[in-house]
Amino acid sequence: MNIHILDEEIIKRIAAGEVVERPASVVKELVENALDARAKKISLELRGAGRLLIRLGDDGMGMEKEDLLISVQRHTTSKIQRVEDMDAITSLGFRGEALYSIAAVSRMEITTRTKDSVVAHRLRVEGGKVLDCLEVGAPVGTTVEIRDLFWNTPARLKFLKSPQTELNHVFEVMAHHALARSDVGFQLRECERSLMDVAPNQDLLSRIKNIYQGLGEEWMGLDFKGETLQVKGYVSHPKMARGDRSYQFFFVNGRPVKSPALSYALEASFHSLLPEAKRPLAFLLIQIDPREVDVNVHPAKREVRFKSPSIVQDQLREAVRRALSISYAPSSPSTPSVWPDRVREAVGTYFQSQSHSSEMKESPAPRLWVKSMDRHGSGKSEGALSQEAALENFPQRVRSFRVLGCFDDLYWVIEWEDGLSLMDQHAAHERVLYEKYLKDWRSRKLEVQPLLLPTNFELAREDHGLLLEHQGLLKNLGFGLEEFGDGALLINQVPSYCQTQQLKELILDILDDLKTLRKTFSFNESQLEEKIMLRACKSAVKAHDTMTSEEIERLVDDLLTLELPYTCPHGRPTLIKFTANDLAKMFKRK
Amino acid sequence: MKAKCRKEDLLYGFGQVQNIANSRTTLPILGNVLVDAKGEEVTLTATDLEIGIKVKIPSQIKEEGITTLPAKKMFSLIRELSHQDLEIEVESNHLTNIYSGSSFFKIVGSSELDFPKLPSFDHKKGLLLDQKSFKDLIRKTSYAISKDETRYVLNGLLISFQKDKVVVVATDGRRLAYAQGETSQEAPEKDVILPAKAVQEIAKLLKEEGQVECILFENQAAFVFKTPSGQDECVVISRLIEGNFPNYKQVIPSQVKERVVLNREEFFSAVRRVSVVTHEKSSLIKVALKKNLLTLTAQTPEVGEAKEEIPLAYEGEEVAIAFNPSYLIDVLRNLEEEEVTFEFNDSLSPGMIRSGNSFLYVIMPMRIA
Repeated sequence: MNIHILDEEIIKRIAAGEVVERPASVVKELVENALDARAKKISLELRGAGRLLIRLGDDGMGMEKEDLLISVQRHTTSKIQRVEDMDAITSLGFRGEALYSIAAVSRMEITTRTKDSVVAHRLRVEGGKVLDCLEVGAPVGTTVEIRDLFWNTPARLKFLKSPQTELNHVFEVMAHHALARSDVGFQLRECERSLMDVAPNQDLLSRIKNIYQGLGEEWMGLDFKGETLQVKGYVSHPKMARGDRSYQFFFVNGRPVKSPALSYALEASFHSLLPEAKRPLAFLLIQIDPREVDVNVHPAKREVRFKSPSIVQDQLREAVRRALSISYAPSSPSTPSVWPDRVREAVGTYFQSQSHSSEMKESPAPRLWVKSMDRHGSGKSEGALSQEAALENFPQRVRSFRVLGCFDDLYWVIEWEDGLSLMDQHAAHERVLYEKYLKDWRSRKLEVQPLLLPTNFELAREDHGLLLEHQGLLKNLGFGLEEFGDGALLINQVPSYCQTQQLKELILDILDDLKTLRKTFSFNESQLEEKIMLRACKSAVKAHDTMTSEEIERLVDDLLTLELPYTCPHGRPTLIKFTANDLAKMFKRK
Repeated sequence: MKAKCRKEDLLYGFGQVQNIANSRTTLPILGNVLVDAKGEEVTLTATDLEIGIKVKIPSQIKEEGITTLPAKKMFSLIRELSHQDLEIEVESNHLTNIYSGSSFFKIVGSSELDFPKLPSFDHKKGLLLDQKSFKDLIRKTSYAISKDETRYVLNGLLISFQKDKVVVVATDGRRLAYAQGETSQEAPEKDVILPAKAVQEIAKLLKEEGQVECILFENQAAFVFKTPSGQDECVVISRLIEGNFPNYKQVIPSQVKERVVLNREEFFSAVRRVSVVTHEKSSLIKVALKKNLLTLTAQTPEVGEAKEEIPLAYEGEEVAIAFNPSYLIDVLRNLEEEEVTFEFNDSLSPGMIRSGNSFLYVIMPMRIA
């Protein structure tokens, strides 16, 4: 074996592999170029979900012939010049690799004209080799046409997903940029079918609603100027919350990014307003000094790193919290009917405690809760322990307890040998029933209720495609789904356990499950089935929560035989335990 | 203000308006009732901003005036009074004295200026319906109103005025109830969707005699309840649900293959008995027909089985159709006729229950996948 230098052709393809993964990555690079060229309108046309043709036209500033010729070579860019520029990048692209990489794996044609030039130039490149460059007539701006993507890399071609999936990815890329830049118009067409058409100079809220129909109507506006950054945008009303983060959008200096740090700060501001495992939706545009952020972390530039993340997080939290307190402070009568009293109170006390003692980040009760979870619940969350093992794990002599009494017809005070617990009767009962339902689920034949009047609702495009992709599976579970025009779904049958209430909510929950599960490596259909059954059980349990005081001891017994007794199916705690030690601390004896 | 009323009248009045008055909203004034003494009557008004209700009660007015009083407190207070007459006197600052026999109360009211104004519709003319028949229409249909808030147009009762008749329809997407009644005069054709809560309140107010006038304006409707002598007694004003009700005519099967006549009471009690063995999640009973016999069956593994037989006249094919028993119980409970007709095509397409010429109920069968 001997080591040798790879030839030019192979190097090109390897480089392309890093940047160009699928049609959506091509689209991303081209859109970024168009935006960097100060385009006001960007239109994208696809055939075969981008495999046959990607044509992206803009009305930006275009290129001169000399620039055009070198634009397809490696490490050529107009966006930065010196090393210092890397520290304060203001353009979307800067690596000088995009066109070069795309050209290497496709047949490319670039037509471009600057406003000072009379004619346009058209450059043709095939598999990285320049074929010719002609003078042609064209409007000002640049049009890039990519045909037969991956024609010379069959392996890559094989890894492409179904056209619907690839199209969803392209849509996502376009949507992200369209949201980041509501001043620019975007069009997306696939084989003459218009998938997106948003006019330039829209306000952000109408753009959100245009692009993601069916997310909900209750948005709270944000406009905040902090020490080092500015935040604008919208966050969702807590009742619109979803089970995952797929609708949390952050744009840092106009660049769509995923950022766990920002998501964390956002969710922290919603603390106590949402049940556990529910996530707020957000579209937040953040302007920050480019020197404060490093975008050169990831070749696709999907991630950014902040120089001082905690300062950014603090400001973001402050911004969201202000928006929440303005729109939903308890005194505001703005939407009395949709805002349950209980939640309003929670918001009220939450903000009061915030203003009284800003250093106290959470109320004492949950803190204790977390602590006792740590002590008794660790290891049990794996859920794989047998009943006996679970019991052993709980403090010894677990069954010797005494019910002391009840407060407010809801909270039961239970005395143990080593402390006392407060139990939320409803939450505990829900958990017990839930497990029971789940158990006898599989022994049952599925009963289906076809609908006399099928119901239809609109969904965001990605969601729509995803549900249709799993149509067969959902059918096995009793849901009859049909495509109903653009972005809308028709539901014509439901499982009989899914009684009248809130069908849409159930479907959205299922959707969230699908999304989360798809990302795990071990995704399979039975896993989803189980999740859906859990969801459905929840709706069944909700309707069933009357309970007499005599049953409470039995309930505690039942609860403690479960694998996960500490939270109700909605994530609320069922049992909060105070040990003698905890109490001593609370009374400052220790 | 100084007014003398009979306990009975006031109790009736507060009883009607207190359901609407709700102090738990963010506007505390909505927990109060507007009390307006004028001429020879006291008018009580309550609203939750969706529905408004006005009740007039006869009174001897010594001094006209207006104030608002807490609805729930007043209702409980009047109910407990032992004396038959009471006198209401409002001092300055809306402090209200109530004298009744040897009892005396001072109740803190609040200013009428904070109370929302109900829309006025005095100059409008409406359509007269008999209270009894309107009540009948509502009873036969309103149970089918949907509770799924995502399909808000189904959260109300469709009232469709069609020349000389009025058609009332409710559906939750799984079954549909349709009833029609006569009107005494012709009216322009118009469809409105009345929210479930208003339907509920109106049903409570409707009596066996007298008429009710329906006045429609913009996106609201007023219902003026009249005594048999034609006197206005109370008024309910409700916001209407905006949107288009689904085309219910499309859902009603135009042709049916088979038809059996059943004794309603007998069928109803058989369904109720059989449904005992169903389970809240697996709620399905089978209606099987063969020559001159209808059989109802249900079985649930952890509960047991049930079977009921009803002999009847039937010559058609053997068939078995599964239904959610609560949809059958709902309709059978709310009918009064001795006989109902059960009509169907096969075990998968919608079945129908008819009673007389003016009522029908479409119900979607269930399937076992």
